[in-house]
Amino acid sequence: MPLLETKEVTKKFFEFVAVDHVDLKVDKGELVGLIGPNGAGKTTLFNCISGFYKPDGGKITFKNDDITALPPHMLAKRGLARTFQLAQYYPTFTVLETLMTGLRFRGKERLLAAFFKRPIVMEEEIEFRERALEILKLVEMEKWQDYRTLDLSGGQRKIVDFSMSLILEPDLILLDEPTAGVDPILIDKLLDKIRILNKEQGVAFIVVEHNMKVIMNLCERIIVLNSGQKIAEGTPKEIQNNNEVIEVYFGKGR
Amino acid sequence: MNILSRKRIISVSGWILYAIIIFIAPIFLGDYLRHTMIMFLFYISFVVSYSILVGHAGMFSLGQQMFIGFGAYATAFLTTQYTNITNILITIPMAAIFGGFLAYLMSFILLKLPPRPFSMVTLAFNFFIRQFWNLDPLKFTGGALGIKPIYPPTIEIPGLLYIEIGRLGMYYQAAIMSILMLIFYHLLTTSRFGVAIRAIKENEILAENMGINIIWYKRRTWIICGALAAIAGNFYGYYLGVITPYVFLWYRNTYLLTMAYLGGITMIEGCILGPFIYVVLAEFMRVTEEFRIVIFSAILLITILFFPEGIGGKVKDIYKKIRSKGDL
Amino acid sequence: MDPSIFFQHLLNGVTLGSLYAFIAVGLTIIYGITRIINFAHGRFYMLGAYITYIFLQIIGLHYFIALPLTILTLFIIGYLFDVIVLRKIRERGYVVTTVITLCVGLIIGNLVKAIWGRIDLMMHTFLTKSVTIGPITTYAQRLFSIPVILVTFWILHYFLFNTKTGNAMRAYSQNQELCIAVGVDTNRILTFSIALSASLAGLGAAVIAPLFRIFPDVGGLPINKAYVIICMGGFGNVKGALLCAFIIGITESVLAGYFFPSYRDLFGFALAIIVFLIRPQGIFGTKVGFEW
Repeated sequence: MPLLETKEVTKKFFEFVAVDHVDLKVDKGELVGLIGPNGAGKTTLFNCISGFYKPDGGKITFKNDDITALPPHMLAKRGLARTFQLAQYYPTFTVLETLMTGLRFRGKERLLAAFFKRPIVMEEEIEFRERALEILKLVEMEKWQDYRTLDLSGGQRKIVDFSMSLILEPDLILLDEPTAGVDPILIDKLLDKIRILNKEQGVAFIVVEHNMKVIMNLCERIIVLNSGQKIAEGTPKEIQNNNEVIEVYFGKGR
Repeated sequence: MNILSRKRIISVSGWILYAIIIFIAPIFLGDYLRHTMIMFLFYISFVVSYSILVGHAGMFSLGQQMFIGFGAYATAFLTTQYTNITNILITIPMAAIFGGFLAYLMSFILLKLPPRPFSMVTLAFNFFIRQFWNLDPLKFTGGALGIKPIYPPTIEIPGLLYIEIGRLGMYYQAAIMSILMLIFYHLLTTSRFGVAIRAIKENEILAENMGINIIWYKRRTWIICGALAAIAGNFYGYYLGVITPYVFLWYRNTYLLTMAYLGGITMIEGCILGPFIYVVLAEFMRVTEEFRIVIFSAILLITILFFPEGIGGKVKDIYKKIRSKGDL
Repeated sequence: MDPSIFFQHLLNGVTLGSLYAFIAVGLTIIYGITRIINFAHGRFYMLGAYITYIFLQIIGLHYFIALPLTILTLFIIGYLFDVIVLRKIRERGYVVTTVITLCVGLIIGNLVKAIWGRIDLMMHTFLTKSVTIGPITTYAQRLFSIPVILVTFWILHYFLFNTKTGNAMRAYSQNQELCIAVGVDTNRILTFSIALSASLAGLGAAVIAPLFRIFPDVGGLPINKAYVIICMGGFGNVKGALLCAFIIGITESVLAGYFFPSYRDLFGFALAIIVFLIRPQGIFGTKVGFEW
């Protein structure tokens, strides 16, 4: 049983078809890449899978449940996380606060409980703090824990965004251009972390990237989108030698 | 965090001192100043509801004062001709339920809207309610003349207790109401619910992505703030003894906006500071209504341009700067 | 049912609708392009009424000269409003800008009230005299609003779809970043939209205000309705604003004329709420952003 499966997912904006009947499968623990020229529909597909858009057609299943129409917060609770192309952050929250906020809302909403759960005194909060610090250590950002996110650089925010997806302890993470804007030295470290998470904890990934070197080195399988349609799928080697893919990126003729 | 940290002790003592002042004051005040204090306490109660809604959840409503009207009218319906219930143990919850229920109805339209349309439609509701209440097509609101008299409040526990609240009693009613509101504010904003709504205000998309059900939280915030304002309205109705659709006039919102932003919309101290400054300033402005609107609009303008966190925020900033200089 | 009475109500409805249209279209243009809810818009109308009065009664110009002069004056006022007030606060977020337009509107409105008191003024143009056409007897000024509406909004449509600036405005309201990236002079577009909207309000005042007495709060309730109209028609959508302006104007006049004269002001708001229940974003509104 695949972890995530999309069947004929379609998304239109007025007459423009951004995602055109895309079929996609990701198994448990797989590291899949999603590439394609700008405007191919990669982020739109992510938005459909993660609940930010409602697809106009098709079906999406996650862990055998139909998640097609579910809003993002429910998916976060079921183990599906995503990051954003442009790193999203809470401006006045500190890095630590931001991560802890990710931990506080993983259960079902209950009014009285939410009202009376006081961050200052609860035991859970101590656990959350430890867990958040653990993740920060993992991405080597612990010394920034008390900085407000708006005081950080764009690349640092990307890393915070990445650690936000980790804190949900997901089974699948959708990474939207995780290396964009990140310090080149850190890119390798980031990729290492992804590999470790993948191998040791069995977290599956779908990674959208424009950096071909990164994608080809990181992923076991690559899916290529163009103009909303899936045009190729295979191992990095197969994709590199796929004529249609080459044409899409470099144009016809040599 | 240390329960007995120095900051906490100062903070708690400050609040106890405030409470003591509030409770002792009427002994020293004549009728007129007592009236001013009562309005001050009433404003605190309203600003609490506004501060939670706008300062914490970021739901910029332009019609929050209509809930004051709802609360006052609910009280009026109960207290006059038809049912003659003046027991605040009944009228306060009923006012809250009335305000909360109407908020619930409105939420079905409001929560589907992005931020600017949201504000506009709260205003549209305000206009509609005012016209509807004024023209009274269903003949229950009392029309342009409103409803009067609203008999004075009482506290009744059948068989055990019967207190009629006189003029002095209303002062203490206002004082207790405002203190309970402030306690509620504190509990809400420092709870997980408060964290959620602040996260929603800072970045809705991220909040939703991290498991916060934003519609769930927004709906409950809207209803709670509506109910809170309605409770304030309940007192308002009792205190004035009469209620007319004048309460729904939206430009009065400017006074309330001014009060809220002056104090500092995200802090509990702002809920007191804002009304305090307003009441003090109003004392010096025994001018015509028009000039008063002009002056307070100008104050609001200056506040929101130069003191977005309010005077309270500015004071906190300065205090922080002094402390950090001192640590060097 | 007496047809002449019906036409009377219909004509009143058209006049009312025109009034709403002149205000609401300007308001929706400002919103669509600058994303600001201009709470000072009613003041443009008020100023338009007073300025028309000054040109007509005090300086004694002919109506057909006063009219374009008023439009021009309001254009300049709108331009100044943007340059002096709005430009400085554009990046401050919509709460700040909304509150500031609110404050400016209240300050101007109440200053005028405070200084000149509640004096009513009466304006006479050469058209404020009775005219009988077929079954209807009415002021020629009312009939005048019909060709003005048609001409104005035809010109507006032409402008928005066939000129460089108009196209830039439409493009900007749909995709700001793209316009900036392409190098469009956004300042010019923003200022122009506000000036344009102000002159629309001024035109409205010049055409409609002579029909009634003018006083500082002139246009108060219709202006409030204009805000509701732009919600109803779809934010930033000109044809929505136009359509809803006339729907509400005519509905109010006809229903109030025949059935419930005292509940006239409720119909518009009630209609709006019905629209919101079915389509919260307005008749021609687009759902922006994420869709959960």
